[in-house]
Amino acid sequence: MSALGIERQKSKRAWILLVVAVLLVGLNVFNGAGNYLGNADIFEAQGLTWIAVWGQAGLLWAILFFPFLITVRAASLTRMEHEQANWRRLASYGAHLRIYRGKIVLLAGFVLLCQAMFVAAVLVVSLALGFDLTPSDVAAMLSWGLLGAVGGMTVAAIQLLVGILVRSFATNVAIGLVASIGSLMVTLVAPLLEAVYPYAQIGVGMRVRALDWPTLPETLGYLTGNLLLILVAVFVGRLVLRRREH
Amino acid sequence: MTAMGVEVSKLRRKRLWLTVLLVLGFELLWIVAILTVSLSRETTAPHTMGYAIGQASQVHAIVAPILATVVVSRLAAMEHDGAMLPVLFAANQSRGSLFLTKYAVAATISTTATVIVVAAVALVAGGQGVPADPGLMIAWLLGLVLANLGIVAIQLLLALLFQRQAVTLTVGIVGGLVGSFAGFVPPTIAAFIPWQYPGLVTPVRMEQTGGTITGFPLVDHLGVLIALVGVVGAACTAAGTAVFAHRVSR
Repeated sequence: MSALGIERQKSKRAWILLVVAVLLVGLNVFNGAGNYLGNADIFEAQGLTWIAVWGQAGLLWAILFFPFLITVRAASLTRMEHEQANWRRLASYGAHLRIYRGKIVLLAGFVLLCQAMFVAAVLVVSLALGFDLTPSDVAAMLSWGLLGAVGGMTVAAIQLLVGILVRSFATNVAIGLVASIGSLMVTLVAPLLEAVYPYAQIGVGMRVRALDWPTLPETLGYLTGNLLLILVAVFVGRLVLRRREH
Repeated sequence: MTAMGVEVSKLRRKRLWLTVLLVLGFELLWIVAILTVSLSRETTAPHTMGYAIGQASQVHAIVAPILATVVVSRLAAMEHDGAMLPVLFAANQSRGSLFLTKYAVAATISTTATVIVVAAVALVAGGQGVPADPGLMIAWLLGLVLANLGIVAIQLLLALLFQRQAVTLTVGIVGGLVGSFAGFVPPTIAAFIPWQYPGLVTPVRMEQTGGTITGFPLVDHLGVLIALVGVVGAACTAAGTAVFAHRVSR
Protein backbone atom coordinates (compact mmCIF):
# COMPACT_ATOMS: atom_id res chain seq x y z
CA MET A 1 0.00 0.00 0.00
CA SER A 2 1.25 3.51 -0.79
CA ALA A 3 2.25 5.92 1.97
CA LEU A 4 -0.76 8.07 1.07
CA GLY A 5 -3.08 5.07 1.22
CA ILE A 6 -1.76 4.14 4.66
CA GLU A 7 -2.31 7.65 5.97
CA ARG A 8 -5.83 7.75 4.54
CA GLN A 9 -6.62 4.46 6.27
CA LYS A 10 -5.37 5.90 9.56
CA SER A 11 -7.55 9.03 9.31
CA LYS A 12 -10.99 7.50 9.23
CA ARG A 13 -12.68 10.44 10.94
CA ALA A 14 -11.11 13.12 8.75
CA TRP A 15 -14.57 13.81 7.29
CA ILE A 16 -15.52 15.59 10.53
CA LEU A 17 -12.97 18.32 9.84
CA LEU A 18 -14.22 18.51 6.25
CA VAL A 19 -17.71 19.20 7.59
CA VAL A 20 -16.23 21.96 9.76
CA ALA A 21 -14.44 23.27 6.64
CA VAL A 22 -17.74 23.38 4.72
CA LEU A 23 -19.35 25.31 7.59
CA LEU A 24 -16.46 27.78 7.80
CA VAL A 25 -16.42 28.31 4.03
CA GLY A 26 -20.17 28.94 4.24
CA LEU A 27 -19.75 31.39 7.13
CA ASN A 28 -17.05 33.36 5.34
CA VAL A 29 -18.76 33.49 1.95
CA PHE A 30 -22.07 34.37 3.62
CA ASN A 31 -20.24 37.18 5.45
CA GLY A 32 -18.76 38.34 2.12
CA ALA A 33 -22.14 38.30 0.38
CA GLY A 34 -23.79 40.06 3.33
CA ASN A 35 -21.15 42.77 3.28
CA TYR A 36 -21.65 43.21 -0.48
CA LEU A 37 -25.42 43.52 -0.14
CA GLY A 38 -25.05 45.93 2.78
CA ASN A 39 -22.82 48.25 0.74
CA ALA A 40 -24.12 47.40 -2.74
CA ASP A 41 -24.52 51.04 -3.82
CA ILE A 42 -20.86 51.82 -2.99
CA PHE A 43 -19.55 48.67 -4.74
CA GLU A 44 -21.76 49.25 -7.80
CA ALA A 45 -20.48 52.83 -8.05
CA GLN A 46 -16.93 51.44 -8.01
CA GLY A 47 -17.82 48.75 -10.56
CA LEU A 48 -16.91 45.96 -8.11
CA THR A 49 -18.84 42.69 -8.25
CA TRP A 50 -17.45 39.25 -7.32
CA ILE A 51 -14.14 40.76 -6.25
CA ALA A 52 -15.86 42.54 -3.35
CA VAL A 53 -17.25 39.19 -2.16
CA TRP A 54 -13.83 37.54 -2.66
CA GLY A 55 -12.05 40.26 -0.66
CA GLN A 56 -14.45 40.23 2.28
CA ALA A 57 -14.92 36.46 2.42
CA GLY A 58 -11.25 35.74 1.75
CA LEU A 59 -9.79 37.99 4.41
CA LEU A 60 -10.88 36.04 7.50
CA TRP A 61 -10.67 32.74 5.61
CA ALA A 62 -7.03 33.32 4.64
CA ILE A 63 -5.91 34.84 7.93
CA LEU A 64 -7.82 32.80 10.51
CA PHE A 65 -10.06 29.97 9.41
CA PHE A 66 -8.04 28.20 6.71
CA PRO A 67 -4.77 28.18 8.73
CA PHE A 68 -6.81 26.90 11.68
CA LEU A 69 -8.15 23.97 9.63
CA ILE A 70 -4.67 23.15 8.35
CA THR A 71 -3.29 23.36 11.89
CA VAL A 72 -5.87 20.96 13.32
CA ARG A 73 -5.40 18.49 10.42
CA ALA A 74 -1.60 18.59 10.73
CA ALA A 75 -1.76 18.23 14.52
CA SER A 76 -4.09 15.21 14.15
CA LEU A 77 -1.70 13.55 11.70
CA THR A 78 1.34 13.93 13.98
CA ARG A 79 -0.49 13.35 17.25
CA MET A 80 -1.44 9.80 16.30
CA GLU A 81 2.26 8.93 15.92
CA HIS A 82 3.16 10.32 19.35
CA GLU A 83 0.64 7.94 20.93
CA GLN A 84 1.93 4.52 21.97
CA ALA A 85 5.42 5.49 20.76
CA ASN A 86 4.38 5.02 17.11
CA TRP A 87 7.31 7.08 15.79
CA ARG A 88 9.64 4.57 17.46
CA ARG A 89 7.74 1.60 16.02
CA LEU A 90 7.82 3.12 12.53
CA ALA A 91 11.52 3.90 12.85
CA SER A 92 12.25 0.36 13.95
CA TYR A 93 11.42 -0.90 10.46
CA GLY A 94 12.54 2.24 8.64
CA ALA A 95 9.08 3.47 7.68
CA HIS A 96 9.07 6.79 9.53
CA LEU A 97 10.27 8.92 6.59
CA ARG A 98 7.88 7.18 4.19
CA ILE A 99 5.01 7.85 6.58
CA TYR A 100 6.10 11.48 6.88
CA ARG A 101 5.94 11.73 3.08
CA GLY A 102 2.45 10.25 3.12
CA LYS A 103 1.34 12.83 5.69
CA ILE A 104 2.68 15.68 3.53
CA VAL A 105 0.81 14.41 0.44
CA LEU A 106 -2.40 13.84 2.42
CA LEU A 107 -2.19 17.34 3.91
CA ALA A 108 -1.58 18.81 0.44
CA GLY A 109 -4.78 17.10 -0.73
CA PHE A 110 -6.68 18.54 2.24
CA VAL A 111 -5.36 22.04 1.49
CA LEU A 112 -6.40 21.76 -2.16
CA LEU A 113 -9.83 20.41 -1.27
CA CYS A 114 -10.55 23.21 1.25
CA GLN A 115 -9.40 25.83 -1.21
CA ALA A 116 -11.49 24.28 -4.01
CA MET A 117 -14.53 24.47 -1.72
CA PHE A 118 -13.87 28.16 -1.06
CA VAL A 119 -13.48 29.01 -4.75
CA ALA A 120 -16.61 27.01 -5.64
CA ALA A 121 -18.61 28.76 -2.90
CA VAL A 122 -17.55 32.24 -4.08
CA LEU A 123 -18.40 31.22 -7.67
CA VAL A 124 -21.87 29.98 -6.70
CA VAL A 125 -22.64 33.01 -4.51
CA SER A 126 -21.42 35.36 -7.26
CA LEU A 127 -23.76 33.71 -9.76
CA ALA A 128 -26.59 33.81 -7.20
CA LEU A 129 -26.02 37.55 -6.73
CA GLY A 130 -26.45 37.95 -10.50
CA PHE A 131 -22.89 38.93 -11.43
CA ASP A 132 -21.86 38.40 -15.07
CA LEU A 133 -18.71 36.34 -14.66
CA THR A 134 -16.36 36.51 -17.64
CA PRO A 135 -13.81 33.72 -18.35
CA SER A 136 -11.19 36.16 -17.07
CA ASP A 137 -13.04 36.47 -13.73
CA VAL A 138 -13.23 32.70 -13.37
CA ALA A 139 -9.54 32.42 -14.31
CA ALA A 140 -8.70 34.97 -11.59
CA MET A 141 -10.68 33.01 -8.98
CA LEU A 142 -8.98 29.74 -9.94
CA SER A 143 -5.49 31.24 -10.14
CA TRP A 144 -5.73 33.13 -6.87
CA GLY A 145 -7.29 30.10 -5.21
CA LEU A 146 -4.40 27.97 -6.42
CA LEU A 147 -1.82 30.51 -5.27
CA GLY A 148 -3.55 30.56 -1.89
CA ALA A 149 -3.28 26.77 -1.79
CA VAL A 150 0.49 27.08 -2.30
CA GLY A 151 0.55 29.39 0.75
CA GLY A 152 -1.60 26.81 2.54
CA MET A 153 1.02 24.15 1.78
CA THR A 154 3.64 26.36 3.41
CA VAL A 155 1.54 26.55 6.57
CA ALA A 156 0.92 22.79 6.35
CA ALA A 157 4.62 21.92 6.05
CA ILE A 158 5.51 24.14 9.01
CA GLN A 159 2.67 22.82 11.16
CA LEU A 160 3.71 19.23 10.40
CA LEU A 161 7.19 20.13 11.61
CA VAL A 162 5.73 21.72 14.77
CA GLY A 163 3.66 18.56 15.26
CA ILE A 164 6.77 16.39 15.06
CA LEU A 165 8.58 18.58 17.60
CA VAL A 166 5.68 19.21 20.04
CA ARG A 167 3.81 16.27 21.48
CA SER A 168 0.76 18.08 22.91
CA PHE A 169 -2.14 18.46 20.47
CA ALA A 170 -3.44 21.57 22.26
CA THR A 171 -0.03 23.27 22.24
CA ASN A 172 0.36 22.42 18.55
CA VAL A 173 -2.96 24.06 17.76
CA ALA A 174 -2.14 27.03 20.02
CA ILE A 175 1.15 27.60 18.19
CA GLY A 176 -0.58 27.42 14.80
CA LEU A 177 -3.34 29.79 15.88
CA VAL A 178 -1.03 32.35 17.45
CA ALA A 179 1.16 32.29 14.34
CA SER A 180 -1.93 32.64 12.10
CA ILE A 181 -3.40 35.53 14.07
CA GLY A 182 0.12 36.96 13.97
CA SER A 183 -0.33 37.33 10.22
CA LEU A 184 -3.19 39.74 10.98
CA MET A 185 -0.76 41.80 13.05
CA VAL A 186 1.83 41.64 10.29
CA THR A 187 -0.78 42.78 7.76
CA LEU A 188 -1.83 45.73 9.93
CA VAL A 189 1.43 46.78 11.57
CA ALA A 190 4.19 45.80 9.12
CA PRO A 191 2.71 45.03 5.66
CA LEU A 192 6.20 44.74 4.17
CA LEU A 193 6.81 41.60 6.25
CA GLU A 194 3.80 39.94 4.60
CA ALA A 195 6.01 38.74 1.78
CA VAL A 196 8.20 36.65 4.10
CA TYR A 197 5.95 35.74 7.02
CA PRO A 198 4.95 32.10 6.36
CA TYR A 199 1.46 32.29 7.87
CA ALA A 200 0.59 35.37 5.77
CA GLN A 201 1.25 33.51 2.52
CA ILE A 202 -2.32 32.28 2.04
CA GLY A 203 -3.67 35.84 2.06
CA VAL A 204 -0.88 37.08 -0.21
CA GLY A 205 -1.52 34.27 -2.71
CA MET A 206 -5.29 34.78 -2.64
CA ARG A 207 -4.80 38.53 -3.21
CA VAL A 208 -7.37 39.25 -0.48
CA ARG A 209 -5.96 42.72 0.15
CA ALA A 210 -4.46 43.62 -3.22
CA LEU A 211 -7.49 42.28 -5.15
CA ASP A 212 -5.66 42.45 -8.48
CA TRP A 213 -3.47 40.20 -10.61
CA PRO A 214 0.10 39.88 -9.38
CA THR A 215 2.83 40.83 -11.85
CA LEU A 216 4.99 38.03 -13.26
CA PRO A 217 7.98 38.87 -11.01
CA GLU A 218 5.61 38.98 -8.01
CA THR A 219 4.19 35.57 -8.92
CA LEU A 220 7.63 34.05 -9.46
CA GLY A 221 8.90 35.59 -6.20
CA TYR A 222 5.87 34.27 -4.33
CA LEU A 223 6.19 30.76 -5.74
CA THR A 224 9.95 30.61 -5.18
CA GLY A 225 9.64 31.95 -1.62
CA ASN A 226 6.95 29.45 -0.72
CA LEU A 227 8.73 26.55 -2.35
CA LEU A 228 11.80 27.45 -0.34
CA LEU A 229 9.83 27.62 2.91
CA ILE A 230 8.17 24.26 2.18
CA LEU A 231 11.49 22.62 1.31
CA VAL A 232 13.19 23.97 4.44
CA ALA A 233 10.31 22.81 6.67
CA VAL A 234 10.27 19.34 5.06
CA PHE A 235 14.07 19.10 5.24
CA VAL A 236 14.09 20.01 8.94
CA GLY A 237 11.20 17.60 9.57
CA ARG A 238 13.11 14.74 7.95
CA LEU A 239 16.25 15.71 9.83
CA VAL A 240 14.44 15.68 13.17
CA LEU A 241 12.84 12.32 12.45
CA ARG A 242 16.16 10.84 11.32
CA ARG A 243 18.20 12.13 14.24
CA ARG A 244 15.63 11.65 16.99
CA GLU A 245 16.51 8.90 19.40
CA HIS A 246 13.50 6.65 18.92
CA MET B 1 -3.35 15.22 49.70
CA THR B 2 -6.49 17.09 48.63
CA ALA B 3 -7.87 16.72 45.11
CA MET B 4 -6.69 20.25 44.31
CA GLY B 5 -3.20 19.53 45.66
CA VAL B 6 -2.97 16.42 43.47
CA GLU B 7 -4.10 18.40 40.42
CA VAL B 8 -1.51 21.12 41.01
CA SER B 9 1.24 18.56 41.59
CA LYS B 10 0.37 16.87 38.26
CA LEU B 11 0.93 20.19 36.48
CA ARG B 12 4.49 20.58 37.73
CA ARG B 13 6.06 18.61 34.90
CA LYS B 14 3.52 19.43 32.20
CA ARG B 15 4.87 22.87 31.32
CA LEU B 16 1.32 24.18 31.01
CA TRP B 17 2.68 27.62 31.88
CA LEU B 18 4.58 27.65 28.58
CA THR B 19 1.37 27.22 26.57
CA VAL B 20 -0.40 29.87 28.68
CA LEU B 21 2.57 32.20 28.26
CA LEU B 22 2.50 31.68 24.49
CA VAL B 23 -1.18 32.58 24.11
CA LEU B 24 -1.32 35.28 26.81
CA GLY B 25 1.99 36.82 25.72
CA PHE B 26 0.71 37.02 22.16
CA GLU B 27 -2.55 38.62 23.30
CA LEU B 28 -0.72 41.22 25.39
CA LEU B 29 1.62 42.00 22.52
CA TRP B 30 -1.32 42.49 20.18
CA ILE B 31 -3.25 44.66 22.66
CA VAL B 32 -0.23 46.83 23.44
CA ALA B 33 0.43 47.28 19.69
CA ILE B 34 -3.20 48.21 18.96
CA LEU B 35 -3.45 50.63 21.90
CA THR B 36 -0.10 52.25 21.22
CA VAL B 37 -0.96 52.83 17.56
CA SER B 38 -4.60 53.89 18.04
CA LEU B 39 -4.00 56.15 21.05
CA SER B 40 -1.15 57.95 19.33
CA ARG B 41 -3.41 58.94 16.40
CA GLU B 42 -5.76 61.91 16.27
CA THR B 43 -9.27 60.42 16.08
CA THR B 44 -12.83 61.69 16.00
CA ALA B 45 -13.60 59.51 19.03
CA PRO B 46 -12.35 60.92 22.36
CA HIS B 47 -9.48 58.96 23.92
CA THR B 48 -11.23 57.67 27.03
CA MET B 49 -10.83 54.41 28.94
CA GLY B 50 -13.95 53.23 27.08
CA TYR B 51 -12.05 53.78 23.81
CA ALA B 52 -9.13 51.66 25.11
CA ILE B 53 -11.50 48.92 26.31
CA GLY B 54 -13.34 48.95 22.97
CA GLN B 55 -10.08 48.46 21.07
CA ALA B 56 -8.65 45.80 23.40
CA SER B 57 -11.89 43.84 23.75
CA GLN B 58 -11.86 42.98 20.02
CA VAL B 59 -8.64 41.04 20.62
CA HIS B 60 -9.70 39.57 23.96
CA ALA B 61 -13.01 38.32 22.51
CA ILE B 62 -11.03 36.07 20.14
CA VAL B 63 -8.25 34.99 22.49
CA ALA B 64 -10.16 34.37 25.77
CA PRO B 65 -12.14 31.32 24.51
CA ILE B 66 -9.00 29.99 22.80
CA LEU B 67 -6.93 30.25 25.99
CA ALA B 68 -9.65 28.58 28.07
CA THR B 69 -9.98 25.80 25.47
CA VAL B 70 -6.26 25.12 25.26
CA VAL B 71 -5.91 25.03 29.07
CA VAL B 72 -8.80 22.60 29.66
CA SER B 73 -7.62 20.47 26.77
CA ARG B 74 -4.17 20.14 28.34
CA LEU B 75 -5.74 19.35 31.74
CA ALA B 76 -7.92 16.62 30.27
CA ALA B 77 -5.31 15.25 27.85
CA MET B 78 -2.93 14.40 30.69
CA GLU B 79 -5.52 11.98 32.06
CA HIS B 80 -6.49 10.55 28.66
CA ASP B 81 -2.85 10.05 27.63
CA GLY B 82 -1.97 7.72 30.44
CA ALA B 83 -5.45 6.14 30.53
CA MET B 84 -5.59 7.59 34.05
CA LEU B 85 -9.33 8.23 34.34
CA PRO B 86 -10.24 4.63 35.33
CA VAL B 87 -7.26 4.57 37.70
CA LEU B 88 -8.41 7.77 39.42
CA PHE B 89 -11.96 6.48 39.79
CA ALA B 90 -10.65 3.16 41.14
CA ALA B 91 -8.60 5.18 43.65
CA ASN B 92 -11.88 6.56 44.97
CA GLN B 93 -11.84 9.99 43.31
CA SER B 94 -15.41 10.76 42.31
CA ARG B 95 -16.18 11.91 38.77
CA GLY B 96 -17.80 15.08 40.11
CA SER B 97 -14.77 15.93 42.24
CA LEU B 98 -12.41 15.42 39.28
CA PHE B 99 -14.51 17.72 37.10
CA LEU B 100 -14.75 20.44 39.77
CA THR B 101 -11.03 20.27 40.59
CA LYS B 102 -10.00 20.64 36.96
CA TYR B 103 -12.65 23.33 36.54
CA ALA B 104 -11.22 25.26 39.51
CA VAL B 105 -7.67 25.06 38.10
CA ALA B 106 -8.78 26.16 34.60
CA ALA B 107 -11.00 28.96 35.96
CA THR B 108 -8.14 30.20 38.16
CA ILE B 109 -5.76 30.30 35.19
CA SER B 110 -8.35 32.05 32.99
CA THR B 111 -9.15 34.56 35.75
CA THR B 112 -5.47 35.32 36.33
CA ALA B 113 -4.96 35.84 32.60
CA THR B 114 -8.01 38.15 32.52
CA VAL B 115 -6.70 40.22 35.43
CA ILE B 116 -3.34 40.57 33.66
CA VAL B 117 -5.04 41.67 30.40
CA VAL B 118 -7.27 44.24 32.13
CA ALA B 119 -4.31 45.57 34.15
CA ALA B 120 -2.23 45.82 30.96
CA VAL B 121 -4.98 47.80 29.21
CA ALA B 122 -5.27 50.17 32.19
CA LEU B 123 -1.50 50.64 32.35
CA VAL B 124 -0.93 51.16 28.61
CA ALA B 125 -3.92 53.51 28.27
CA GLY B 126 -2.91 55.39 31.45
CA GLY B 127 0.65 55.65 30.13
CA GLN B 128 -0.74 57.30 26.97
CA GLY B 129 -2.54 59.93 29.04
CA VAL B 130 -6.03 58.39 29.08
CA PRO B 131 -7.87 59.41 32.30
CA ALA B 132 -8.44 56.48 34.70
CA ASP B 133 -11.97 55.10 35.08
CA PRO B 134 -11.84 52.47 37.86
CA GLY B 135 -15.59 51.83 37.80
CA LEU B 136 -15.58 50.96 34.12
CA MET B 137 -12.48 48.76 34.44
CA ILE B 138 -13.96 46.85 37.39
CA ALA B 139 -17.24 46.30 35.49
CA TRP B 140 -15.27 44.98 32.49
CA LEU B 141 -13.10 42.75 34.69
CA LEU B 142 -16.12 41.33 36.55
CA GLY B 143 -17.91 40.61 33.28
CA LEU B 144 -14.88 38.91 31.76
CA VAL B 145 -14.23 36.73 34.82
CA LEU B 146 -17.86 35.55 34.79
CA ALA B 147 -17.78 35.12 30.99
CA ASN B 148 -14.92 32.63 31.35
CA LEU B 149 -16.91 30.34 33.65
CA GLY B 150 -19.42 29.07 31.08
CA ILE B 151 -16.76 28.59 28.40
CA VAL B 152 -14.46 26.69 30.80
CA ALA B 153 -17.31 24.42 31.93
CA ILE B 154 -18.50 23.52 28.42
CA GLN B 155 -14.99 23.03 27.04
CA LEU B 156 -13.88 20.98 30.06
CA LEU B 157 -16.88 18.69 29.69
CA LEU B 158 -16.04 18.10 26.01
CA ALA B 159 -12.34 17.62 26.78
CA LEU B 160 -13.07 15.01 29.45
CA LEU B 161 -15.77 13.17 27.49
CA PHE B 162 -13.85 12.93 24.22
CA GLN B 163 -10.40 11.42 24.22
CA ARG B 164 -9.65 13.05 20.88
CA GLN B 165 -8.85 16.63 21.78
CA ALA B 166 -9.55 17.70 18.19
CA VAL B 167 -13.25 17.81 19.16
CA THR B 168 -12.93 20.21 22.08
CA LEU B 169 -10.27 22.33 20.36
CA THR B 170 -12.31 22.67 17.17
CA VAL B 171 -15.45 23.66 19.10
CA GLY B 172 -13.56 26.10 21.33
CA ILE B 173 -11.49 27.72 18.64
CA VAL B 174 -14.31 28.03 16.13
CA GLY B 175 -16.31 29.45 19.06
CA GLY B 176 -13.51 31.92 19.76
CA LEU B 177 -13.25 32.98 16.14
CA VAL B 178 -17.02 33.32 15.86
CA GLY B 179 -16.86 35.19 19.20
CA SER B 180 -14.92 37.89 17.43
CA PHE B 181 -18.20 38.81 15.72
CA ALA B 182 -19.78 39.57 19.14
CA GLY B 183 -19.79 43.31 18.54
CA PHE B 184 -21.86 42.84 15.38
CA VAL B 185 -24.40 40.40 16.83
CA PRO B 186 -27.44 41.64 18.79
CA PRO B 187 -27.08 40.86 22.54
CA THR B 188 -30.29 38.79 22.43
CA ILE B 189 -28.56 36.35 20.04
CA ALA B 190 -25.09 36.56 21.64
CA ALA B 191 -26.68 35.61 24.97
CA PHE B 192 -27.22 32.08 23.58
CA ILE B 193 -23.58 31.66 22.49
CA PRO B 194 -21.26 31.37 25.52
CA TRP B 195 -18.12 31.82 23.36
CA GLN B 196 -19.35 35.34 22.58
CA TYR B 197 -19.62 36.29 26.26
CA PRO B 198 -16.22 38.05 26.51
CA GLY B 199 -17.45 40.35 23.74
CA LEU B 200 -20.97 40.59 25.13
CA VAL B 201 -19.88 41.92 28.55
CA THR B 202 -17.70 44.64 27.06
CA PRO B 203 -19.12 47.77 28.74
CA VAL B 204 -18.83 49.91 25.57
CA ARG B 205 -19.83 49.44 21.93
CA MET B 206 -18.18 50.95 18.88
CA GLU B 207 -20.19 53.74 17.27
CA GLN B 208 -19.49 54.52 13.62
CA THR B 209 -20.68 57.20 11.23
CA GLY B 210 -19.85 56.79 7.56
CA GLY B 211 -17.11 54.26 8.29
CA THR B 212 -15.43 56.50 10.90
CA ILE B 213 -15.34 55.53 14.58
CA THR B 214 -17.04 58.36 16.45
CA GLY B 215 -17.00 56.97 19.96
CA PHE B 216 -17.44 54.09 22.39
CA PRO B 217 -20.62 54.85 24.40
CA LEU B 218 -21.67 52.71 27.36
CA VAL B 219 -24.01 49.82 26.57
CA ASP B 220 -27.50 49.72 27.98
CA HIS B 221 -28.35 47.23 30.72
CA LEU B 222 -24.73 46.20 31.35
CA GLY B 223 -25.65 44.93 34.83
CA VAL B 224 -28.28 42.63 33.34
CA LEU B 225 -25.80 41.27 30.78
CA ILE B 226 -23.16 40.59 33.46
CA ALA B 227 -25.74 38.92 35.71
CA LEU B 228 -26.97 36.79 32.79
CA VAL B 229 -23.44 35.69 31.93
CA GLY B 230 -22.80 34.82 35.60
CA VAL B 231 -26.02 32.79 35.86
CA VAL B 232 -25.30 30.92 32.60
CA GLY B 233 -21.73 30.27 33.83
CA ALA B 234 -23.01 28.80 37.11
CA ALA B 235 -25.66 26.75 35.25
CA CYS B 236 -23.03 25.41 32.80
CA THR B 237 -20.78 24.43 35.71
CA ALA B 238 -23.59 22.61 37.50
CA ALA B 239 -24.75 20.94 34.27
CA GLY B 240 -21.17 19.99 33.30
CA THR B 241 -20.53 18.38 36.69
CA ALA B 242 -23.82 16.49 36.55
CA VAL B 243 -23.30 15.27 32.97
CA PHE B 244 -19.71 14.16 33.58
CA ALA B 245 -20.70 12.42 36.79
CA HIS B 246 -23.21 10.29 34.89
CA ARG B 247 -21.48 9.67 31.56
CA VAL B 248 -18.85 7.23 30.41
CA SER B 249 -15.81 8.71 28.64
CA ARG B 250 -15.16 7.71 25.03
